[in-house]
Amino acid sequence: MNKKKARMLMHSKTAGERILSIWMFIIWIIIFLGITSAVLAIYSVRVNVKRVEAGILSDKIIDCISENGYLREDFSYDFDVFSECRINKDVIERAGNYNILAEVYDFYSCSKKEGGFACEKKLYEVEATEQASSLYVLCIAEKTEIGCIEKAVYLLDRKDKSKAYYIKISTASDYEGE
Amino acid sequence: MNKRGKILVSNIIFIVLTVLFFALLFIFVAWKSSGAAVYEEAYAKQIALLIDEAKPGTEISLDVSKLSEQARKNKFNGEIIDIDSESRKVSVILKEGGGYSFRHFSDNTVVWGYNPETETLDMRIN
Repeated sequence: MNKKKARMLMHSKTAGERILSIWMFIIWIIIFLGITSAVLAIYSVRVNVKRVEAGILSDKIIDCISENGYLREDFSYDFDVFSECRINKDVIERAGNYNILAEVYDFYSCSKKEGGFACEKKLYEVEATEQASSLYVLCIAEKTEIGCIEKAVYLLDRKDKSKAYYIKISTASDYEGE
Repeated sequence: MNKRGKILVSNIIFIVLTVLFFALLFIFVAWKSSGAAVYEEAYAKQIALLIDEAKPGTEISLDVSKLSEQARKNKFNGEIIDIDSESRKVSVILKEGGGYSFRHFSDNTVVWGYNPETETLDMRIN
């Protein structure tokens, strides 16, 4: 079709030809963009399980360090969370970004605060992951894309009944999957 | 070309373009909404989290009929689920060239099998 004929087709005044105007294409493009962006927005939503994963991780650690309300006797700053709690070190360290941090406080140094306890005397902490600190900072900054969970447990000393511990477990997951 | 002829040509072009436009739109929406990618991701994560949460000795039977249905729809005949005990990776594949993997962090070993009759994934955590 030469230029003259094309121009005639686009600009002639008959009813059928009027539809073939630039406006028709603009409307089609708007409809196309609207539908595709809506479909993409709905179907590209990721299933976010980071908080659930972090929660399972902290439950596993709490189950592992407590024995009927008592703190495990071998729990100390060099406690190997991976072998003792049946958590795979390779996955935690290589597959994704995880945070495992356990802070042990003297329970008698704690005072009740809104939403939990505020403790003054920290005895020691167990930092199981190398990237724990950096993720912990992001958790404090409340980065919503990271699943952060903080749980606390009150445990007694098996040997010395006058001692009690308040243990804060902070876990985080930033693992997306592959 | 007389006036009647011009109207006919423009009408044909209009109809062809309209059909082409809506066909493309329909194909795109149908392709995206088949949901294979969403199912792959959701089930891979669900299975991995079940393994993480389970205590040794737990037996789990998970209904995966939706996965089988999706695989049939996509004419995929390969293994739809794989749980690799070495890499601790749970993979779900529902179409050729697709697939999603999610690692479980639990150190427990998983004995598993897919039952095609009941369309369930049976797992035993040791």
